[in-house]
Amino acid sequence: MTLSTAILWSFVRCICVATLAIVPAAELTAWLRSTGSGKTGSGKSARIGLIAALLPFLVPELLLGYTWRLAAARLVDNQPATELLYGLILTIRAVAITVAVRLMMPASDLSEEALHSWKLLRPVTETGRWRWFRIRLKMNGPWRPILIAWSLAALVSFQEFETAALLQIDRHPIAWTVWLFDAHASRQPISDSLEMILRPVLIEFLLLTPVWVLLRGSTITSISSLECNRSPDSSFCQTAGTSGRTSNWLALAWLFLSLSVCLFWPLATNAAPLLRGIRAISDQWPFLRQSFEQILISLGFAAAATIVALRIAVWLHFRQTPALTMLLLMPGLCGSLMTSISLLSVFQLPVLNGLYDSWLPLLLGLALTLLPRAWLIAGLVLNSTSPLAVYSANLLDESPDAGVRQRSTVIRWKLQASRWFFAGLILSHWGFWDVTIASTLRPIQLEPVVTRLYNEMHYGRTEALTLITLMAAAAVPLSALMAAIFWRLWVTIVRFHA
Amino acid sequence: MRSSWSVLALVLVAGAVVIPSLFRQPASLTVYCAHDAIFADDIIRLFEKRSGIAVEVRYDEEANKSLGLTNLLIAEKDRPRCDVFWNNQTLGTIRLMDHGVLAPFKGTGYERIPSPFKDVGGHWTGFAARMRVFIVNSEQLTATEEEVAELLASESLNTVAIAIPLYGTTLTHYSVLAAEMGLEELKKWHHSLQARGIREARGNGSVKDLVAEGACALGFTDTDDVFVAMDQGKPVKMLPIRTTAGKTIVIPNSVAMIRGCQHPDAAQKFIDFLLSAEVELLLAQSASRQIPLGDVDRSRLPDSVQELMNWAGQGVEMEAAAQLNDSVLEWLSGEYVQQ
Repeated sequence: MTLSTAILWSFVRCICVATLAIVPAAELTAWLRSTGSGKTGSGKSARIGLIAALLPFLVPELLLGYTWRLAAARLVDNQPATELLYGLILTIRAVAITVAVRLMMPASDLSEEALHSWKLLRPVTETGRWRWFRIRLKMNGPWRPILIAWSLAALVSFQEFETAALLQIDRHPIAWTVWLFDAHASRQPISDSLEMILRPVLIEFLLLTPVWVLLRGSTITSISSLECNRSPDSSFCQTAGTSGRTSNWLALAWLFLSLSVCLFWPLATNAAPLLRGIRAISDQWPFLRQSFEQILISLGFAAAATIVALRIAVWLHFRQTPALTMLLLMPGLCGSLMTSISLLSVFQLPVLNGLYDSWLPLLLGLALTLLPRAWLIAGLVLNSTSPLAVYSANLLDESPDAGVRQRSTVIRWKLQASRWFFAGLILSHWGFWDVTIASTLRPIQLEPVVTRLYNEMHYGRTEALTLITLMAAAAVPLSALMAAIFWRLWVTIVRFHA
Repeated sequence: MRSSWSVLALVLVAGAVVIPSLFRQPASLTVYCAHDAIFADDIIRLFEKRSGIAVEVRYDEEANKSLGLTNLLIAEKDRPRCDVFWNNQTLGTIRLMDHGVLAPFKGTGYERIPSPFKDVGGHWTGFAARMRVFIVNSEQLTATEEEVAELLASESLNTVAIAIPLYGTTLTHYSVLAAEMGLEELKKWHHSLQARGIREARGNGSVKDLVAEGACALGFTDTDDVFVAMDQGKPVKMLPIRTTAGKTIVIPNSVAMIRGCQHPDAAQKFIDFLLSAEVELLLAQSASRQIPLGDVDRSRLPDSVQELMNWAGQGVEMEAAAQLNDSVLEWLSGEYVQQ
């Protein structure tokens, strides 16, 4: 197997996965909007629907691979089936990512009415120039959220490593990331690896091109997805998908499939060990204390790396310097493996060696790895926030009336802070579960929980594994929930009584 | 995003990272450990309790195979932060010796280990071994040497699994074969396995899964992986893998002190502790059932280890395999990761 073959497989797969995800994601998005998901005061069922739709994205790749590895073992006689299984897992994750992006993105910059008006202007014989403008209109209008979501889904699928490595038997599923891992295992010099990584990085830049083109210099929209949620029948929002009865069934069928793969099956196969684990380990205080400590360490690094990555990403968006952007995104696009090994070499230099066994290499590694995705998500957030609305909300904050100030805080949360909060949540989740960076760059004294989990997986300690997994998987959402509660308390108590 | 919020958040997360370390005793010894964390941890904590020396451990992770502790030690050679390397095999340790990473030490522990399992110069010492074995699905194949030999000689090997030999004990296995049959014969054997459709997994754990789940009837793996499957109640049995000369492949743990390490006294105490009969017994009684190499009270060994000890007595010498390790890996790299 050559690197070119592995890259070709990964590229074709990521294109297929991101493209196949468009239709189910459109149906799911439409269904979620019809149930009012994301609206303030939306019902419990709407919130459950939203969580269910995004859940496949929140289940770590590592755990999905571990859960499905035995199924892959049973498919050993049928390589296309192994490829299909891997493709299905990637597609389910891609749909969740696409839904998340489409819910964050404005449905369209241009109304259907505007597009119809443009159609009426069609010359008797369609000219190439007219057709080109029509495509440009569509790309900046109804196609924009789709293309940006496609881009992110394709990038994430192309970079995937953990699931592929855990499922792989007889070199299927074929993935360039696994190939590169093997090349390092055979003690390849880092200079050779950097040369090899050029082709995959070029492909990743290619996959990011739609985002680059569509977000660069685009106008700030006044119609956001939240507004679509408030009036889903608006013609502005129709392009996001329709929600007829058939569509609802399709959306629900997809939800059932994705939850079966990412939740029901893993729970069914691990329920007994989990119960045994809780019984056996719940009274072992040192074990639990160690696990909590490791989870806290992982959370700390993931959150810090997220803040650093988002700050740099926002700065890059405002600065709009393509060369600098490309330079800073490059390490992340090379993947966790290359980033961690390169940083390890850099911190061996005499001038930096004093910092080698500190928190800095791990934080830097995670931040660099998250940066391309942070850049993409920051672009989305910046483009879906109206500065005029934020300015108006800020004016309310100057009011001498505490009630008005409190309402201003709530409005600003909805307009701006909530989007950054969710962006941070997504990025922290990625950072929390990155095993390659953590295992290579962590200081001796601090062990993130993900490396511990990997050990438990390898040694078949299913009871301990499932218990730590449960605690770790709940860590990021629970921390986010606690942060939200803290914010709420701050608004109601501190600001209201100020 | 407001700067003040970002700064506050950064302070909070930095606190989350720093606070746990404040409650720890400062480390007096740093150990890199490639042995299974769940077995090694109890032994290291026992040493801490007995000696009063605080130990920080960095375990090897499967995720990190591409770098591995051996490569990490080579990268850190000029400014080592590790004092003792506890490896779960010997070839990697011998490679470190060749790179000048190890310092010699011959303590009381060194004396009790038989000479085939230690470096004459005292750069490394072996203890508590695993073995390369066949894992047999007893519902599909009778676990006898004849049945296994017949299956391996058959035209189709699509019910037989082996790990990709680029790393781990499968690479050691290949190096042993290269030393005995020569590299060219090894290549023929390897190509023959592939031509007959042998299943290639990504590790010994995956080989164990393939056989334990019934997807394959036979696999090449290590004793500790087979014991995991046995303890889970899977229908598996084991047989020793023998070279053409009838030798078994015994893969001891090895321990070595790092040249220029910061805590040499504590390192020497830890090495002597690891090489003691008590630790070999503890490892034999653990779920991984490691085979003691020095003298121990045999009456305290589990039955399964008693049987392994008989097989281990027929173990092949590893010196020649160590010398061929690089050539074997170079050839395998060409096979598996061509550009």
